[in-house]
Amino acid sequence: MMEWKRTIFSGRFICLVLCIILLNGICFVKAQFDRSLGLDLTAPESQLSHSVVVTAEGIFQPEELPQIPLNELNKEYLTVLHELKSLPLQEICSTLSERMERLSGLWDGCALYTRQGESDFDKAQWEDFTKQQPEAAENIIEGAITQEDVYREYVAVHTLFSRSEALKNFPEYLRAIEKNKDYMLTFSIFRDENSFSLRNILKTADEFQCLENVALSIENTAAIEGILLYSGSDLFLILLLMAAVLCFLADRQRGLWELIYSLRRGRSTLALHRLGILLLLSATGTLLLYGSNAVLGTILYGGIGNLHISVQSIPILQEYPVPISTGGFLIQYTVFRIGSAFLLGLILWLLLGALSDARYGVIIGIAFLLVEYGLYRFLPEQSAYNILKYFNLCTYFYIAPLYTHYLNVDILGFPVGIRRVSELAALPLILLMSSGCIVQQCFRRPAQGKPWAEKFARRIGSCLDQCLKCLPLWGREVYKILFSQRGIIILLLFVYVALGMAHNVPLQAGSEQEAYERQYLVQLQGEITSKTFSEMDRLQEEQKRIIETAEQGKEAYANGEISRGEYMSISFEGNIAQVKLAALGEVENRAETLKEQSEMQGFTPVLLDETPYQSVYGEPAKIVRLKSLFLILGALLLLLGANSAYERKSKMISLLRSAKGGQKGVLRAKVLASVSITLLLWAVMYGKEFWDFYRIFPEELWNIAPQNLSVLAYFPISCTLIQFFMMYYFAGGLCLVTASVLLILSGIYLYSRK
Amino acid sequence: MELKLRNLTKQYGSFTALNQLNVTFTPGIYGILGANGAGKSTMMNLISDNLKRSTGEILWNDQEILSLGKKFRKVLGFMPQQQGYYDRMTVDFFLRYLSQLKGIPPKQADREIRFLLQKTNLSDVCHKQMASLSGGMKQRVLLIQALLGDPKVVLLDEPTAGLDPKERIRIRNLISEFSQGRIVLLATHIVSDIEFISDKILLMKNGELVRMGSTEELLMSVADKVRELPCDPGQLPELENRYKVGNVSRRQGQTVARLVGDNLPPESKTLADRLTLEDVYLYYLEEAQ
Repeated sequence: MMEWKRTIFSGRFICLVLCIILLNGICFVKAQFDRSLGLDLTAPESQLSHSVVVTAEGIFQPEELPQIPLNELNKEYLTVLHELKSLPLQEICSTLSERMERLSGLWDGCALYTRQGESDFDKAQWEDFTKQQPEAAENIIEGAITQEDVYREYVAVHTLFSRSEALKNFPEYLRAIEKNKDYMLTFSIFRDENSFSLRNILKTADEFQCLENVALSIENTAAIEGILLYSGSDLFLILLLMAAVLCFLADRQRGLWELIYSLRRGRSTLALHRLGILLLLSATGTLLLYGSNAVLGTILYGGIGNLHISVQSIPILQEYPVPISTGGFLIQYTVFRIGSAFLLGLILWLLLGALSDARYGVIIGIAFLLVEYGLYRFLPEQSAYNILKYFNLCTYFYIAPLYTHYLNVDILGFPVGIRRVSELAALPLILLMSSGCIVQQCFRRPAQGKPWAEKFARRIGSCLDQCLKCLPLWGREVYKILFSQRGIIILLLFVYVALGMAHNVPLQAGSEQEAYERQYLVQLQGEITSKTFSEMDRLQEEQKRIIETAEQGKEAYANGEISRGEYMSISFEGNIAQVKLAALGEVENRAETLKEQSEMQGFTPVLLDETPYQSVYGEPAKIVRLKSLFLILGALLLLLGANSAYERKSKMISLLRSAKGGQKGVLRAKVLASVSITLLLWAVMYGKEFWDFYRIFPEELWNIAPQNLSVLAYFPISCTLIQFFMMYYFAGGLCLVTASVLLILSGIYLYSRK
Repeated sequence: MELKLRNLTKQYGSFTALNQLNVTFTPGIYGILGANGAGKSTMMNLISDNLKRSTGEILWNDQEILSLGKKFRKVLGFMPQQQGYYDRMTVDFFLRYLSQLKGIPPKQADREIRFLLQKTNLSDVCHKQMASLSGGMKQRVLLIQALLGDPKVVLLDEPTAGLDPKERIRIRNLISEFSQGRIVLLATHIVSDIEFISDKILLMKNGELVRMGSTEELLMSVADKVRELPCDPGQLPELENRYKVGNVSRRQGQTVARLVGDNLPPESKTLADRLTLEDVYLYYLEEAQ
């Protein structure tokens, strides 16, 4: 029937499918890289003494890790896996544990080799290392072993070790469930035969008992994990189904409903075809989206692994209490995904088609889905109403948690497994929804009287009209842009993204000295007076004394007066003191520069840590500021740029032109409207930016002169910092308003009389 | 071949859109004339089962159409008032799509579409998108779809709405040409649409059938109800208050008002030989101001 060609086999729909598959692929790959291809990237455990520096913001000196591409690390992982996978799990774990220890030692060795010239302490540590591991030291010196090599291997070994441990401990995990059952039954409160607790304990133990004899193998299952943990495909699948349902409802939007309803095959036959369309789309969409994920996963992870192994060999599926192979599980998962997608498609169709006017149907449908999502996401697990959380549409939306988490809920005192019930309920629900859709298609008469929702909507409309009665012309233009043009969606999306943006970029200190500099700037923060310099001198003297002690200690060790351990300790302190002294020197330079500048330019010099300012307005935050700018410009373009097109499409130009105010009146109103909307966007985005800065900048420094910041050293206006920011944001707002006015005026030709 | 409406009523709460309509249709063109809100479209929607009736029966050859279901819809052709279409579909695709929904076999559909396109002078544009057609062409396409499948009952709801006089004439002529052996119900509030082609005219007002008859019968019924009265322009508001006023013309420097109704002023002149359906419309369907 041509309904298939009109809907899912139309050129537009096929393009949509292709775009969605492409987008899904891009998002899938990004998601895999965001989770580091499942690799554990933590650095090897170090036995070295590090000076851990804490700044005012609690920023620690990070371990600087070698930057190795993830696919290289993954290749190393696969090499190690293939080396060891044929061995028993116990042996794999012990082999890997030994390797990790060896690699940690080499990691320290490489660090010490790099740092040996920096201080006596580091030199002493390197000497110790060469004595303890001469062969390794030689390899490091010759360059046969580098820190990169060590890190590469360590990531592979550590990741494999974590996975192997999880598999090795699985029998223990099963025994723990059994033990837990016996333990819980010793308490009288759990022995009530009619209680959910007892039944749940027994059910859980019974279900996991069948996994006792399951053989686990370590395999390359990261691709399958990646596919299961990625929820984007579920969203894209639903979007496809929504697009199909909107195609079904297009006959209403186009004024064809009465006609089609009056045709011989316009009811049950059409309904059956539409059911077929939804089913085909559910199946095809699932296979295309998940299939493309599988292909990409295979490429990224170097394979999909052995599908014959038991599914519990995949760490995230250890709570799945069914003994089945990975291949069998994937088939089952795919079938359930197709079924649940079909069910969701039917529900969407039923909801959106419930009302004569497709607009109300969409609104009611979205409202219902939002409620379901809210219950699913925010209802606490322990809530008395948690049944609404688990027996929920969203369970059929993102189905992976049904398999990765074992959970029974209390229904009338009986433990009911979420996964099992969802699987069993799917078919009856599909039959029920299908019947509902067919009944709706056959018996919902197009010209029937306005249902309650539309009466309600009319009442709302009437109230709204009353409230907006006094709106001036430019206010009505704003209303037109936001509501008639549906710009409110853009606006809400913008607000959501803008408020979710973090405008302050965490700034790690580039070196230990830099970290100490920050610490001292915070400590000495305030107006630069003679007291400041005195304090700096005192701190410098302190460090000089420690350095002197360290020198003496070195001599004493050389003379054999103190032990190596004592020498190492004194040397370590001396090492830190050197760094602190250098940091203090920089701080003193800064103070002196500010003092000189203040005398020339006439402002009060204040010493402060510029990190908060740099993290929001400095070079490191440039990308974030650019993102903000593009976001706001993009929103303006979508909201205001589309206005001319909208006026043209609605064929209102000639009427607007002929209005009393004529061209000028219309444009004046539109310009005012664009200014209002621009100011709103500006307030949201830059309000958030300023708020992020306000939270981290010390309150007592708001009245300092902006020239105290190195970036603003030559700012020509004498004012306080807060006044500077007012000018800064005002200028930015003015630029945006100008841009928006130009955007509106670009449509000026439409309103000029011919 | 008969379509009977028996005591057909449709109520929306306390508002009666159609009140106890009793009429029998046999092959021919029936013009349904009435103002907006008279109940014309309600009647069309009830016959096409787009609307659930409150009471009454609709019988096709003495069988209730609801029981007949698909069998009745097989013989039904409908052109709704909404004038809906899929703007990105071509004419050909659109017609084939609807012919499938009508259950017309592909070869028959092909034949009929070609024939009707040719008859309506649309063969050249059959591969153009619906959105790119002029208003008149779109209406012709919608008329074609109503005629596909050789329907026995054709419902045309405001088929000439928004068209220029030339297009209206063309649509009227097409309707006239294709009405042989069918029951054609043509709902409109434009008198000229039905004046020359209808076998019978139904006058509807406030959901009720006021009068039914051929054009001649209806004209005869108002023969003594239409008069012309020369007057001053200043007298017109008063005349409009007391009588139904049709055309107001200027003849030889004098204003002449055409009055319709009972108890017309004796000084006015009768017009028994120059009556039009407009007079009938005014007499039966319009209220005096």
